[in-house]
Amino acid sequence: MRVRIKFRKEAEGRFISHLDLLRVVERAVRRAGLKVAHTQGFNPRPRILYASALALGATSEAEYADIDLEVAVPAADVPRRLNSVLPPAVRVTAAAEVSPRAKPLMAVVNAAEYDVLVPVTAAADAVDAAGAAAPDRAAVEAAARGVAARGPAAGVFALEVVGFCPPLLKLRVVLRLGGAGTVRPAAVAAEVCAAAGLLAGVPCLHRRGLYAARGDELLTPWQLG
Amino acid sequence: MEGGRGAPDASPVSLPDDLLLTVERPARYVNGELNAVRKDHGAAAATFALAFPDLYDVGISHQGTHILYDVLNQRDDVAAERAYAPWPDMEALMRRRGIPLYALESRRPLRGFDMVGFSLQYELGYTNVLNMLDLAGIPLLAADRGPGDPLVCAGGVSALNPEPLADYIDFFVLGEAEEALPEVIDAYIAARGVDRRGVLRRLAQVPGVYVPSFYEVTYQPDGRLLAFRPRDAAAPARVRRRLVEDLERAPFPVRPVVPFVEAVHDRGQVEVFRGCTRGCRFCMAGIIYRPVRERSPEKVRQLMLELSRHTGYEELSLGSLSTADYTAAADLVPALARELGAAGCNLSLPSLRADAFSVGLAGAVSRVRKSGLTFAPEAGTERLRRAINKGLTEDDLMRAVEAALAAGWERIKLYFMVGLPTETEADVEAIADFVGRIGAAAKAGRQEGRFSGRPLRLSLSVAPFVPKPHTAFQWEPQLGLSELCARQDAVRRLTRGGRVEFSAHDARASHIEAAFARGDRRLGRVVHEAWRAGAKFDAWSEHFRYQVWLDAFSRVGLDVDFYAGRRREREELLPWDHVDVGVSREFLWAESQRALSGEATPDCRTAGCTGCGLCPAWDVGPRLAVPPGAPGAGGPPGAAGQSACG
Repeated sequence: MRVRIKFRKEAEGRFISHLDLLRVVERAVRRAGLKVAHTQGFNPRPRILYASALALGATSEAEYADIDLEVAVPAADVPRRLNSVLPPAVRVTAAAEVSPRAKPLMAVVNAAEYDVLVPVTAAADAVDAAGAAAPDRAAVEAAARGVAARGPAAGVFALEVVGFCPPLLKLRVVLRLGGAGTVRPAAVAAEVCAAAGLLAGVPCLHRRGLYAARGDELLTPWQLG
Repeated sequence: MEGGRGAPDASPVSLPDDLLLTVERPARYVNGELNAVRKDHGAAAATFALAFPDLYDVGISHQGTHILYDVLNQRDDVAAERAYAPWPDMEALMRRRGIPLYALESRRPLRGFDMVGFSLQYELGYTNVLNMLDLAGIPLLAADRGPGDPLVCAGGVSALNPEPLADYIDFFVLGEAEEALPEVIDAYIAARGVDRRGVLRRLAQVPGVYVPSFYEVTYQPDGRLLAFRPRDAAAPARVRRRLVEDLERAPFPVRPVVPFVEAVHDRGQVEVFRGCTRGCRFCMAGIIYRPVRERSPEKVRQLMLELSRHTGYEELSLGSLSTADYTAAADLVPALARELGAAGCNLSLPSLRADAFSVGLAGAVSRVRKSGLTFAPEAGTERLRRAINKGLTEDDLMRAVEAALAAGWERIKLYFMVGLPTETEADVEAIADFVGRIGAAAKAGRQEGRFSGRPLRLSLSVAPFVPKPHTAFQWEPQLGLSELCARQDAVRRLTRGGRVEFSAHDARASHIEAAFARGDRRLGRVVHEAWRAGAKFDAWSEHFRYQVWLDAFSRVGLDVDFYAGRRREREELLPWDHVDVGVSREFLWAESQRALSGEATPDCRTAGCTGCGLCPAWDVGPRLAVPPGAPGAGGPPGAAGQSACG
């Protein structure tokens, strides 16, 4: 059977790479006594497929993986069984059985939602030009609207200012994910800041969701076949 | 009370994300790994930082640290944490931001612990010890430490010649520490209100503890030791290494910390036995871990299953100095491999002696994914192998290789040394011939259909011989650097074009290693000079700089070859003579003479007592899972029937 899990990666988990994560989950599955199916061939690997690799440094409340089990278990038991053996940095929040014939998550998930926390300072030339007043929330929201207007065709599904309390700016974005079309949240944040006359530092990312865009709709992995 | 807990600002360090996200593998520097133990320092009567003087990726594979971490944390009154050497990128940031070296679990600075203990595995790690003390803000010299400073101790293999670090270490724990360290903790706790010297005097009473400052060392005009004398009534004339007699009941960590990052040895391990009495004359481990003490196969299986359950490792190994010598291997290994295989785990056997490696074992650990097998013939001719007492014939190795190939193994690595005592050019050339014959036999076997699969990938590693203390060769000079390089090059040339992957261990690093292996405490200043000149991570070829070390020797006014390249006199007072490892000096000398006459010495497990002196002197003996001569007994080949002493 195939079980789809949703999990969090947080706290010191943000310092573990995606490859490290593969090991963490694989070992937890083993400790939990769940019998995973393996690939065939010379170097059998456990059949655990992820929706997307999370960048090092980011936290997430919405990572997904499909696990192929050789021995069926009630999907509702999976979170408890895994959480009882996982290190605190990774927590399974939901699980459901999905069809083994469903397309791989990585092939269908093409959008990601993030909270982007950016340390900002007023850009020197913006301050001079405005005559000593640093950009305010309205200016930032205008800049955000400008970038958001590029729309889904440019990979920007949503973009809003959640908070602006200098020196911190918080944006919520939904951006295209996958291959060459990936729109990086740090890049979008930098553009918004530049348009608003702000200098952006290195942002802190928190992934809030993964989606498959179907027309205007953004479907969660639970809504897929 | 002595120790760092009263230290000002011992509060946890702050590690900003912007710092951690700019270094390589930030997970090396944070906690939260599976099975890490976090305890309240306030509730502890003693806090201990286990410091490994190398990178996290290396240190996390060190079994000794896992054992001591578990032993200490099982106590309610002790909080034990871990610290590793930060890689240069992290160190640079830490120094710039004033972040002192901290322990992972609580992020408290090392200087805030009661004790900091270093595990000494390799002489070239000594600069990292100094660097970690410096990063921690702990005075480097033991003599400079005061009431608010932690007690700095050290143990491990290299501690059996503790002298080169004598200036920097308050006390050493010699030998196997799992019983000694709790005794040290008890003595420390009982010494409340006593001053630093008083605490050390109490600790010196614990068997196995060596306090270097309690001894006075004098030298002859030519540089050799004149005298080595206790100058405190609390100090014994000799310190006996500690030995865990009953390994079966000894604690074993079945919940070791499992790293997030990929470790150098990315697997779990159960120690099946400790010690080895094959008696290879170059090998220090074969002396300092005597007698052989095996765990029962039932215990090994139980520990293995628990370890698997608590770690989820995909590979688990049976660890020892020579696992194929385990007397219960023939029955246990196949059964365990099957049982673990059913749970999705591979069983591996590192450290194999070719003469005990059988078709049965090869098949049992045969797995679809094969990393390769390693054997260490060490010398190219039977004559030289007999001289160094590595009792391995070419037939043994050929059979082992055939067994491996028949079981589907495709990669075999062979270790040899150059610069061995009595070695000639013919012996060196024979290495290439030997390897060539192996390759030819493998090829013939494939052509004749005896093995299928891909062609054998043979790799060959040639390392310079380094004479070690407490061995039959402790009096031998190391061959000169240019000659060592010449011999390595000869093997390289002779094996070129033969589809053999050749590698040579840097002879210059071996030269420095050889000086420290048999050094006296004057070398402490050399370590300091080298460290001040920027030496660190010297065990890493990308960081080791030979000239820095030569300059350090020169500035201190000492000669590398006085230590590395000088033949010791039979009656010379050696810097490690105060360390009693139990094996008699007379035996070691006799072995060195037997090397000259090419006489072999058998293994006392199966061939009867060979007179090393340990068992009668200490009232100990080998403990084997299956007695020799019993049905199903494995173990080293030798004259059966006569049982081992003890």
